Amino acid sequence: MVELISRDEHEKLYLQLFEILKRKIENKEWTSGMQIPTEDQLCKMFNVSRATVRNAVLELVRQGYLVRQQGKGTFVSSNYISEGMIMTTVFKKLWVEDDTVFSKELLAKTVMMPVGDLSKELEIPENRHIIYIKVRWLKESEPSILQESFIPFNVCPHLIEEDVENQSIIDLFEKKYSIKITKVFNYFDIVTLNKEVIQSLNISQNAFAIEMIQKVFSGNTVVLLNRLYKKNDGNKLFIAFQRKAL
Amino acid sequence: MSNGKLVKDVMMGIFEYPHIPYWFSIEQAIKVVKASFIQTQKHMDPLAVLVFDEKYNLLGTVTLKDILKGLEPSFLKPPTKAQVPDEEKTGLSIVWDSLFSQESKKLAQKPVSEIMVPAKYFVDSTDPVTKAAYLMIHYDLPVLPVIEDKKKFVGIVRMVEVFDTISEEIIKE
Repeated sequence: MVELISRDEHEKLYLQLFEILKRKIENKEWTSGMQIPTEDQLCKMFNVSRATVRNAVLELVRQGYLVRQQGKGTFVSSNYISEGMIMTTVFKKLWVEDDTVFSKELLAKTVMMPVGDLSKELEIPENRHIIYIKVRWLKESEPSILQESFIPFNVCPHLIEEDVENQSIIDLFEKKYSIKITKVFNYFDIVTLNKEVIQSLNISQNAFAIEMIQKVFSGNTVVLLNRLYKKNDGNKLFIAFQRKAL
Repeated sequence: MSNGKLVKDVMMGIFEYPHIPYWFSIEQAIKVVKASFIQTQKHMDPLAVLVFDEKYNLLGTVTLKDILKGLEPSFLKPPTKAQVPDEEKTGLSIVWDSLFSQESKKLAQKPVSEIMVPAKYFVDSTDPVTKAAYLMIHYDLPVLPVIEDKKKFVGIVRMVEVFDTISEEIIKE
């Protein structure tokens, strides 16, 4: 079906064209990875000016429906999400706004088996080894956050020898071991804590804390599971999102 | 003797065995044993779990016998020094049914550090197998940890490989 631009409507031409092209992608008329027609072709197809086409395409790129490849052309994005905004975030800043005010203290770095619901969370069999890392975040020598990280051993066997106090696990994955992070899920809840966490965070018996569970994927593989407990103090958990740059 | 075979020729990798930290409860250790050996029908001999500290140093081993021993109610533990006539022990038969039921559930919450056999004896990967045999016989060890450079834990020697190496020599014509 060929949709045409209506010149009777007051809506701007480029916005109409944007909607038409967007529908082509959503209806899979233009499939993911496909190269879209050139600006000239689009001008002729819809009988509009070059500027109108350019503005419509730019808006689709900005919203993540299309990707431009220098010298090659414009393609339908392979992972666009039809609802909601496409945002980018910075992995380092997923937890706190400024992590330089915290000092970190390594409480444990060892290998164990996934007991409880860990094998389900990490999507591995119960007889696979995992690396367990426990780090306490302190601000002005007062404990604030307790971080427990679980990594399937075969994802990165050498992680056990790494300094995880001064480097983030995600940075090590990305920069040293070429494990590209493609997706992060975050879950938040308010919980009462077990004895062990209470001691580590230096808080009273019945205090509440925020639990943040973070599942980190590379492709479809869970490469890291973080459990963070943050007590009720002046520090805040922080996640920044930013509209994808043009 | 034994062809000069070294520990490194016969040892198993440590990842053949499940790892747990010392703060795990006996109950958690049981679940690990089930998941690693029983459900997967991987019948290693012996069935053992390696216990580590928070810095990934080997602290000890836990075998099925250690777990059962840890679950045994305290009243059944034989007095260590007193002489108990044999016939008196038969009186216990009336409690067999309830032996591992009530108190054992509570005991299963104890940390494994209380039931593990601490790792006191080691062999180096370049030691002869005969040294491993000597230690295993004299200290009644189900598994013997292998280290390199005086501290890095790299493997496990089992009775079956030690037996095989030594018996080979004995029966050789």
